[in-house]
Amino acid sequence: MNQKYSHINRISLFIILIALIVLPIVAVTIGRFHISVRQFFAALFPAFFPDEDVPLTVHNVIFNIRLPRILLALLAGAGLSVAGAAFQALFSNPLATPDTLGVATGASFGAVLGILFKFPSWGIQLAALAAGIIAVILVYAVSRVRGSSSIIMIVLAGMVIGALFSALVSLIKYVADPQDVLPTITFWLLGSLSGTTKLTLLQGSPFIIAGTLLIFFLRWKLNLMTLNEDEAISLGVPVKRIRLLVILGATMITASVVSMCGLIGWVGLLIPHISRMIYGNNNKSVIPASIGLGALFMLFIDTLARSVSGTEIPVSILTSIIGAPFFIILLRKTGGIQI
Amino acid sequence: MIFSVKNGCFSYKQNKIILDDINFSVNEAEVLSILGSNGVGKTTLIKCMLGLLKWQCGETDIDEKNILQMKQKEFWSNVGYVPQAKLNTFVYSVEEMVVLGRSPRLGELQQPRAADYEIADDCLETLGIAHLKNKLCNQISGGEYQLVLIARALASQPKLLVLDEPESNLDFKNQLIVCEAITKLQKERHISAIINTHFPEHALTLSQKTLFLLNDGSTIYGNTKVIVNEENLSRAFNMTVRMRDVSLPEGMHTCVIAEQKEI
Repeated sequence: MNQKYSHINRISLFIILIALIVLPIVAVTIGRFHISVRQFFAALFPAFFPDEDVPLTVHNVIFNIRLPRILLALLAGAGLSVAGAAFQALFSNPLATPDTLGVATGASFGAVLGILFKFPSWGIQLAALAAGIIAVILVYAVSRVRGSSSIIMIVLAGMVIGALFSALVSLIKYVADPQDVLPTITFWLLGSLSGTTKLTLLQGSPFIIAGTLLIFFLRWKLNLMTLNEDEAISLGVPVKRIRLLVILGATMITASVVSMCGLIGWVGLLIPHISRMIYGNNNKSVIPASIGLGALFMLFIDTLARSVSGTEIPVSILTSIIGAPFFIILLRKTGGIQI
Repeated sequence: MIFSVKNGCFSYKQNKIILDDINFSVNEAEVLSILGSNGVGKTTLIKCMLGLLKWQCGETDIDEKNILQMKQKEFWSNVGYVPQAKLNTFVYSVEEMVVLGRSPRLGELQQPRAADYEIADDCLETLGIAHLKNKLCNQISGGEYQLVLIARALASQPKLLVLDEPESNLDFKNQLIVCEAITKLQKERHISAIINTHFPEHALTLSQKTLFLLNDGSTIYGNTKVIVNEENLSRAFNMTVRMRDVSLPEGMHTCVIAEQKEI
């Protein structure tokens, strides 16, 4: 590898790492309820701040509300971005998103069904997770022709299953009570991290972390997966197994994110492309960069969503309104995507 | 290493046999050309012999051992495959592309290390394109890209290269560069090669053995000097073909001239 090039790579990845440590701390202090940085550290490490007396409400806001939510924002952003980047490589298609195989649509059907039947929040989460996974299993079953699945069949099956679940979501919206259930469903589908508790985080985050790690470890193999199948096989890649592992990882991430925060559009498309514009197409850099930048982007969006106005702003609206112009500026500056 | 195909046959549909009773073997540091007209099944033959398609009867052997009994990684560390040059959706730098060739020698979760990059650079050096290593694959010429793909196949340090029409889509000069690269690898590194080609002249200059694939599914196999002659070429391409030796300052060269008229 070019020495100078890899040097710049390392420095910028280091900057992202520092930002990942500093910015979440800043985010804890932002919000309608005032918390100072000193109070935050005093609550976190009481032993080092014997003279600082942290009120119980501050303690509560930090540990039960803001910290879980910030952690979820970081995880969801990292997860969706890495799932998008992995699918783009796997299908060697720059337009692929985490929802290409219908996982997110399937998961939202599960959640909407849960809302309709007035499940408790953990029940909604589990229903979404299960439905997302069922959607991908259906896709894999549909795409199998004579014992094997080609990429084009998988993508087509994903579109069909996605359309099916999206029709089912519409059906539930149609029958839902417009006074009380329908607004809940609509708000949920726009995406929000406001419902985060320690419990939901504990239930959902292992899937996101496991899926992200799986893709992270396969990141160099993803370069080989962008070649056509015969070429990849001729380079000694067990194509079918890697493909299944990547789909498994991305499905765990996406189903889990959707089950906790609803549909969040754009991140899975935007962040991988921004990473590629900065680092080139090599997934050895694109995957870690997507994880870091995705986490930072979601943290930024969610902090805005909860602090900009008196009421919560749905996350999907902000990802598009902020993401689109940002993406256009980058496209103009870098002269487009090298694909 | 001896690479051989025994009694291979294959058909896509039940009633139309594409490959029938294919037999050949390639010894160490030997080059075999496969000649035949378009659509006769040359690429299919390559896919079958490499196990990318399954033989319906017969087998491919390495040193008398059926390749189906070998581990994928073991097989692909011994055999390098050079596909027809097509650019990928996502382009990588030349060096990154070549280092992908190290994959058969690396573990599933392993990344290429400094030593792997050195081997990749070595392969680029061997083919005389080391100066391109930081360029993107879409910034170089078609001939250079073909050499990059050969370098990628070399990176796994194979004993045999299988090339699918390496000189198609290339101009005069680039064809020569690719052909010379194959000869160089054979002479200096004792790497044997199997080449699909459209050009009888390339078969004559490059290879010791030739396999003709004919339209009726049968084959002619033997020593290049013996079997690449007017009669067999005419049969394979279904037209009148003449061969003339031309004396050049560099030595004798055999020209192959095709007549338009069908026979």
